[in-house]
Amino acid sequence: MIEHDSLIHELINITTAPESLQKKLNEIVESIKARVNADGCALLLMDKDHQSLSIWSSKGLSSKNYHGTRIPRGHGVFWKIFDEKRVFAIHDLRNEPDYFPHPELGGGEFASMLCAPITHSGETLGAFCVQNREVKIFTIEEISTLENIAYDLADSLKIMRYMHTLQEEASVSLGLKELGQIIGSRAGLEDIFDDTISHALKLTGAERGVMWLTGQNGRELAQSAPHDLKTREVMESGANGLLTTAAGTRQTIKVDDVNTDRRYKGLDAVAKRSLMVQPIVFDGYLIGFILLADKKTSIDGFYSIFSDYEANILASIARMVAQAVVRVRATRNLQNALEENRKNVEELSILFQLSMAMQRAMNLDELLRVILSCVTVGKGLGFNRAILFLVNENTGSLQGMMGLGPDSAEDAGRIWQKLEKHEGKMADLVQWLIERDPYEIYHSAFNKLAQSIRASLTGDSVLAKALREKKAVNITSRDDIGPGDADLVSMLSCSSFAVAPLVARDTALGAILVDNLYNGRPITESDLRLLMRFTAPAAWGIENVKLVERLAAVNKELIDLETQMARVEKLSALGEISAEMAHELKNPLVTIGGFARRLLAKISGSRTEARYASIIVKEVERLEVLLRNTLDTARLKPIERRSVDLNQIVNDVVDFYRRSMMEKNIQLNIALSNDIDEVSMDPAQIKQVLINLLVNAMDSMSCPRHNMPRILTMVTETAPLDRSSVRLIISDTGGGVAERDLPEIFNPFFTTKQSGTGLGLSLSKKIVRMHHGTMEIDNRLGIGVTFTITLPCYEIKDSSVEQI
Amino acid sequence: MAKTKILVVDDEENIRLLYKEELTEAGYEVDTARDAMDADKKIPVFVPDLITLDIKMPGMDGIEFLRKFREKDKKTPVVLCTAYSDYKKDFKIWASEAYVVKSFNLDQLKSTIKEVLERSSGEKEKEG
Repeated sequence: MIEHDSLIHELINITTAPESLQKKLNEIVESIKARVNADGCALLLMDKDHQSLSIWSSKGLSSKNYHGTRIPRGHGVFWKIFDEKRVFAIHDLRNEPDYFPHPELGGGEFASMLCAPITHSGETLGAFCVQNREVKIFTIEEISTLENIAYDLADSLKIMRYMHTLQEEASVSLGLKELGQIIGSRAGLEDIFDDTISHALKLTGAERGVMWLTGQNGRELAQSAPHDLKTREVMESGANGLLTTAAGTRQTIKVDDVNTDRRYKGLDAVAKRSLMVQPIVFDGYLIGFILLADKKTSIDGFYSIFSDYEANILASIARMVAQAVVRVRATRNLQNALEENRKNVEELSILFQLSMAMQRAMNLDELLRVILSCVTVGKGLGFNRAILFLVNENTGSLQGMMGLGPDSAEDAGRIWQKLEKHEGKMADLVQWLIERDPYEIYHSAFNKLAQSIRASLTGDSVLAKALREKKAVNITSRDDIGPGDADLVSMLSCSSFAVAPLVARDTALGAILVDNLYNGRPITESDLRLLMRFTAPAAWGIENVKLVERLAAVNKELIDLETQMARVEKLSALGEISAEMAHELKNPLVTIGGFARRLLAKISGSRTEARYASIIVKEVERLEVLLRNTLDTARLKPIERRSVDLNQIVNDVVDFYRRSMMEKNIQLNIALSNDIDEVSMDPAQIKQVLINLLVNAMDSMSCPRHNMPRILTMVTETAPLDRSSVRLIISDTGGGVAERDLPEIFNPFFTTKQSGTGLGLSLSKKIVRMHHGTMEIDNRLGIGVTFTITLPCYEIKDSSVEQI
Repeated sequence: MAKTKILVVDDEENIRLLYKEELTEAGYEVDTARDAMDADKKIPVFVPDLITLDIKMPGMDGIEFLRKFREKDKKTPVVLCTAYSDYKKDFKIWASEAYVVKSFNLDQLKSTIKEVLERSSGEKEKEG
C-alpha cells in the first residue's frame, strides 16, 4: 500500500506542478508505466462531444507519441470500457474478438492489455491502458493498482480537463472573433478566401482547406481559393456527390476515413483520411462551400478525424463568411452600378457634345468630317481609324465617302502626339471638332483608300449585312470573315473591325466602319454600344444636311430659272428689234450690193474701181449672212425631235471637216462611246451646234502665230452623274479665251474673229437649251477651251422653254 | 418674137431700178409699179407674162394684193420676193408660183423666173 500511496503522492504532485497540461499528462503516463512495469501505457480521454476518445499521452507503445489521435465511438474494445465502466484485463489479445488493433496504440505489437476507466460522479472521463508484448495474466494487485490510480486521479484530471477545455474554447472564440473582424473589413473576395482558410485550418487543426463560392447565378462553382485543392480535381472526384448532399441538407458533412467511407467514393483525391464539408448559406441561399481535409495529429503525415466541436467551429466560420461575402458582393454590385452610371453619364455627355458639333456642320462634307473626327478622337469614341459609307441610290451600292485615320504607325504616333497636346487645351471639344483643319483628312492615303471602297447592297459582305439588318457587326477574328469581305480586309490590312449602320427614319443611309489597326486594342461590346448610340444622331445629322442641301439645290434651280427667264425676255426683245431692223436693212443692202455687182460687171477687172466694187460686194455678202443669222436667232424654228445616235452626227460633221483639219495641220483625237443611248433631238439643229463649235475650235488653232500642238478632241459618253443623259466634249488647244472676253462669249453679236458674226455660240447655246440640255465651258487660258454639252436622252415634257 | 413681159412691184425705187436693169439685161421687157394701186393700173395696159411682187409694202401688202389679183387672174404667174424666209410656212403665199428671198445677188431670182415661165408656158401649150 505504501508503494501505492507514494505513487499517488507522486502523481498528485505532478498534477499540481506549474506545468502545461500535456507535460503533466506525459509525466503521469511515464510514472504509471514504470510502476506497473509494463511495456506501454496510454491515457485516453473522452472528447467533449462524447463521440470519440482522444489519446492524450502514450509511452512505450511505439517509437512515436500518438497524442491527438481520436478513436471514434463504437470502435473496438476501448468503447466497451466506457460503456461497461469496468476494468478490462485481457491476457491474450489474440483470443479477444472485439480487439481492434489500433495502430495509434501500437496495434499488433502487444499481446496483453489492462485498461481501467477513469470515472467521476458516474461519468466516464477516460481510461488508463497498460500493455505488454508478452501474453500475461495480470495480478489482482496490478489490476487494483491501476483501478486505484484511475480513481485517485479522477478529480484532478477532471479539473485539468475542464481548464483545458475552457482555454481551448476561449482561444477558438478569440480566433473566430479575429476572423470576423478581418473578413468584415476586406474589400475583395480573394482576401476573404485566404483569411477564412488560414483561420479554419488553425482553429480546427485541419491540414488543408478550400473554399468555393457559387457564381452570381447561384449554379456553378465559379470561384475557388488558390489552395492546393483544385476545384476541378474535387469536382471530378466523389466530392461532387458530397457537395450535392451538403447543398441539399445545408448541413456539415464529416467523413472520418475517405478510404473506407461507404457513402462517397473517390474522396481520396481530396483527403488522405478525414474531411468536413460545410455549406455557406445566406438568407436561405447557398452561396458556397468550405472543405477542410485531414485532421492533423502530433505526427506528420498521420491524420485523425474531425470532432463535432470542430464541425461547429467550421459552421460558425461559414456563417461569418456568408455575411462577409454578401457584403463584398453587395458593395461590388453597388460600385459596378455606380461605375455603370458614371460611364453612362460620361457617354451621354460625350454624345451630347458630339451632337452639338454635328448640328453645327454646314454641309455634308463638313458633317462627315465632324462625324469621323468624333469617332476617332480620344475624347470621343477613340477608334484608330474610321470610314463613312453612304448609300448611292443610283448605283445601288455603298460608297466610301471619307476615311479618317493615320496612314502608318509612324503617322499614328505623330498625329496622336499632336492631338494629345491639343486635347490638353481642348476646352471646347465642339469648337475643336468644327474647326479641325480638313487638309490632313483630304490628303491622306487612307481617305483615298476609303473613297475607293464600294460594296453592293445585296451582297453577303459585312457592310451589306449591317445595313440590311440595321445591326452593328463586330468582326473579331479571321474566322468571322466570309468570302464577300476578303477584298475589304485586304484593303484595310486589318482583320478585326466593327461596322455600325447609320439609320434615320428607319432607313439605312450608310454605315461607319471602325478599327484599331495601330494600337491593336480589341473592340469591346461597350465600344460597340457607344458607337451604336453615336450613329443615331449622326444618321439624323446626315439626313438633315441632305435635306438642307436638296432644299438649297431646289432654291438655286429656282433662282437659275429666274435668271434664265430674264435672259430669255431680254433675248426675245432683242430678237424682235433685230427682226425689225433686219427688214429695214435688207432693201438698202440689196440695192447697194446689186448695183455694186452691176458696176463690177461693167468695168474691166484690172481697174482700181473694180477692186473697190468687189470689196463692196463682199462686205454686202457678209452683212446679208449676218442679217439672216440674226433673224434665225430671233425666230428659231421649233425643234423636230427624233431619236438619233449622237455618234452618227459627230461622225458626219467630222467627215465633212476632216480634209480641212488635215490642211490646217490639226490632229483629231476622237473617242466615241459605243454604249450611249440614242438622243431625242432635232438632228439638223444639233448638227449646227457641232459645226459651230468645231469651226470655232479649228479657227482658234489656225492662227499663224499659234505654235502649240494643234489637237482637237471629241468625246461622247454617258453622263457620269445622270445615266439618262449623254455628254459631248469638244476640246481644242487654241490658247483659250481671254479672261475679259469670257463673260461675253455667249452673247449675240460678240465675236473675236475678223469675219465672225458673233452668233454661233449664242445660237448653239439656245439650241442646246431648247433640247433641255446644258452647255458648259472650261476655259484654260494659254491652253485651250473645252465645251461640254449634256443632252437628256428622252424628251422632257415641258413646253415652256421650247416656245421661246 | 415679142419679149416676155415682167412687171416688178416694189415700193423701193432703187430696187425697182435694179430689177429693171438686171431683168432687161437678161432679155425681158420690164415695167415697174410702186405699189398695189399702181400695179392694178399697169397690169391691164402692160399685160405682163409674170409679176414679181414684194410682200412688205405700204398700203396694201403683197399678200393681200396677190389674193385680190387671183380673184381676177388665175393664170399669170407671180413670184413673191421678201426679205426673209419666215414667210415660207404662211399658207397665204401658196397662191403664188414661187417664193424668193431677196438678195443683192439676183441670180436666184432670175433662175426662179425662168423656171416658173417654162412651167407656165408648158401648161399653156397643153391647154392650147
